[in-house]
Amino acid sequence: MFASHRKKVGAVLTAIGALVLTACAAPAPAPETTTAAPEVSGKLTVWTEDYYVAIFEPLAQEWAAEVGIEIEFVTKEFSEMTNQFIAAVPAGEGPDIFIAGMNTSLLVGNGVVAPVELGDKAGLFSPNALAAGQLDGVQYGIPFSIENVAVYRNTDLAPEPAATFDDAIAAGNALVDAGSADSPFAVGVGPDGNPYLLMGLQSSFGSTLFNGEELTIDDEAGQAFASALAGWGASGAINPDMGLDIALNQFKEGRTPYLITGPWDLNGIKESGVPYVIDPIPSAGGQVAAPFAGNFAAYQSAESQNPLAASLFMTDFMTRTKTAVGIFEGNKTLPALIPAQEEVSSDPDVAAFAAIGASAVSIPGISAMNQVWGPWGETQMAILRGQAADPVKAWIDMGVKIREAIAAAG
Amino acid sequence: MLRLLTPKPASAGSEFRPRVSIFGLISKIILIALVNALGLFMVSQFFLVNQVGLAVFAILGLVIINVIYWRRKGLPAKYLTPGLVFLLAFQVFVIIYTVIISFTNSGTGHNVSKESAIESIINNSIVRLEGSPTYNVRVLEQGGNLFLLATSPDGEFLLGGNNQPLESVVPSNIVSGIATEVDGYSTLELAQLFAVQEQLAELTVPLDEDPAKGYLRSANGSSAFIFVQNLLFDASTNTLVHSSTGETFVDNGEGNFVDANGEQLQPGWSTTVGFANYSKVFGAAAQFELLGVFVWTLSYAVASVALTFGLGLFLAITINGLRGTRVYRSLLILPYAFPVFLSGLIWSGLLNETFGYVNQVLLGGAEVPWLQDPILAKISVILVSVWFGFPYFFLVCLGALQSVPTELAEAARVDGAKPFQVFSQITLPLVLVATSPLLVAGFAFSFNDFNTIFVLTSGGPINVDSSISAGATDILITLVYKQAFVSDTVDFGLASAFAVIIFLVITIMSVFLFRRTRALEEVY
Repeated sequence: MFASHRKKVGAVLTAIGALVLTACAAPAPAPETTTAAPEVSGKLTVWTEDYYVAIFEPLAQEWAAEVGIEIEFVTKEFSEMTNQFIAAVPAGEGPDIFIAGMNTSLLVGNGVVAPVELGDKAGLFSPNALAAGQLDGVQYGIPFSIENVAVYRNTDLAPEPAATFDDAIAAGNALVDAGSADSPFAVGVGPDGNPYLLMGLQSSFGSTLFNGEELTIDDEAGQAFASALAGWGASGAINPDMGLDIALNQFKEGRTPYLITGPWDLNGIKESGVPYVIDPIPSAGGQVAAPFAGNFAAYQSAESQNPLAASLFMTDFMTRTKTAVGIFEGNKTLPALIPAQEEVSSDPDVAAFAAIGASAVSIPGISAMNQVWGPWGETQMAILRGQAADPVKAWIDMGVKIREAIAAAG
Repeated sequence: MLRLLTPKPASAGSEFRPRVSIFGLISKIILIALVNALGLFMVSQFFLVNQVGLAVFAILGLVIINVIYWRRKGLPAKYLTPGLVFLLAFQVFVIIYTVIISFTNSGTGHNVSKESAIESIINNSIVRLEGSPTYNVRVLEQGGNLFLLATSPDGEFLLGGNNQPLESVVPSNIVSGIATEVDGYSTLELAQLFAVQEQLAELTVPLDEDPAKGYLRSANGSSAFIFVQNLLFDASTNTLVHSSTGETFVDNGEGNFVDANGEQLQPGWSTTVGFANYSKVFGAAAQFELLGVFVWTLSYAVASVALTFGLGLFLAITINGLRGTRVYRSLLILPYAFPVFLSGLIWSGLLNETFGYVNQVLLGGAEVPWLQDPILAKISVILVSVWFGFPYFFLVCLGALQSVPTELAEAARVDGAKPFQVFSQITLPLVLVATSPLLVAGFAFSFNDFNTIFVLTSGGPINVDSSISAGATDILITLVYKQAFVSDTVDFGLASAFAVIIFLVITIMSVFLFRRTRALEEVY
């Protein structure tokens, strides 16, 4: 209740400030109205993480100059920006546009994003990516990149792709024993668990998260994964002390043959000079190891004071092939815009990621998913560390906990 | 004594009055005028947003301030008032606000006010009529009102505005089949539209007299679609009604509209829930665990302060009077000079089980789970907090030691006291008199020492059995932070309830400890 009042106070303050400024400016001669370039009259504020500020800002500034608006980017801390956005919008302090990983159900559930009608332009987007931006058939997020993880293989250390995860670990252990590597396999799970990176291994056991609204993560396939995870933790195949930065460094320094990560590390790995290829994640449970398909999107704030400018950003800027190709140059991730996909398909790394992405599974777009991540990561970590005496029981307990949380959240 | 030093005025009145200079008077008038202007502005703002209570409060405050500063007497009040005002604004208000939030369900899914939630639900229910065509439009203006000039896919030209259904019109200008101008109206270009964009966002042109046919809306000022609104709010019954199915959603009193089956409409809104958050804190499942967290918080605070103070005092005694005290002092201040966030991250790296420097280099490849084992992690965080904190107490104790008169120790020695007796019965008590208020403050600080715990372990190692996600090193304040900000579903209401409880605990302990401190001061 205080929040909405604060917004009004802000609006009144701005209005009074504007009045004062107008009064001060009154004696000045009226400005010439016949200027060649369109006059700047709308100002958009965009929130995103530093990585995407660097990629979006030059593209958006060029577009804004063309349309005749001003645009300002505000750098936000990745792990906190979604919660900050959710808190800031009702207070009237949020941006007009928010660029982040797709989290449509959470944002709609908190009433902070506005629906967007793409019209015929909806046909330009990859249907799965577009669907991730919808809730109950209404479009909220406009996707721009489709990402999935894969295995980077050091071709000096491991010249041949591993058929199964066990093969990869065996090859990795042989290298460790020979002293030419430090870790048999690198994946940055520490310190809090990383189910997003491990989903490929989990899904190779046939494990899924939901069937419709029904939770399936703790079924027998999931339990089989839990047992395997305990084994990998004990044997050192997956090291729970390895965080994202350590895992990446191990690979870049040639001290591990395999690394699970996404296209966001591509430029860094290229610069390190390590010879690599991009492989599908080797299957651990016998079925196809399907990673998550992650989508990134732009959302329009429900309380935007610049609805026309924001709407143009969503339906014009975000639907241009030039924009999508420009973003690709920065993040090397498959564009969601189909005409742009065709333009960038000559890049072998992108083609490899896209081929693996064909089998990827979407993150369930239901609000119950918000209750899954926390217990899921915690349980994986406890199993990897051997803190859970019986991994299968820990996994079943996790299911109970998630169900309780979903019931409590309504 | 002061009285003796002050020269007596020639006409000795009953009371000494300082002479007021013109400059002082003018600056006083200016300052109070500024305060009054600011205060009156605030009052007007409070009235504008219907906060009558706050407005009355502000008026009262202004009256009191004016009385205090225009009165001749009451000098102490003049000094105390600024501090009290800031105390009210930055401490008391925050506490009251936290208490208010603790009685609401504010958090994920209950994030906005009820009006905003209804607005959102209705906006989200406005969907494009399936299979409907796209209209090319221009936005026209007449007498401050906006109109849409639409060219239908069949090449028909239509004009309409808010509550004014579309009608055929003869345009005065057509560009490649699209109507752009009508006599009597001015066509707005994109640059002009930005100035009226909020008005444009609300422009809904009915297709027909029958609202169920839908209406035309344009988000970008150049193309429009036919939309239908599925949900309508009925203020008289406080329900939302589906326009075609007639299904009714009622306010469930817990910040959501629900249908007959209990299915909720998103979003919900923030509403008061009474003591629900407090009963969650003291709920049967959480109670035992919370007690564990409380005991650990207490032991962490006590151990951290005791060890920090002990080490600081020990080093101070060792170094006091030594040659080169200044050099040691400069060196020992280093841990204190680094920001905890930075050195905390470094420590968490150093103590990594497989890759950390401590295990790899210092212990020759041992795998000691410094931050992974629940008990070892507790010890580790205490040790690191000592590393952060001892320079502070070292400096304080060094200062206190140097202010202890040497005659006292000498006199004791002359009386035959042994060195340890001199220390324990003369020096230590005197040092304690000077430092005990700092120990109480240090205890309160350690009780809420968010930085050390969060940067080092984030409260981990994780305890999967915990129903409130409390890790082995979670103290109360990190638990609150996790409830409010870290997990995917945040709960400001529950976090505020925790914060209120922590506030009460610290207040009671501090009052008790300060009483004890005063007793100490009276003895010596």
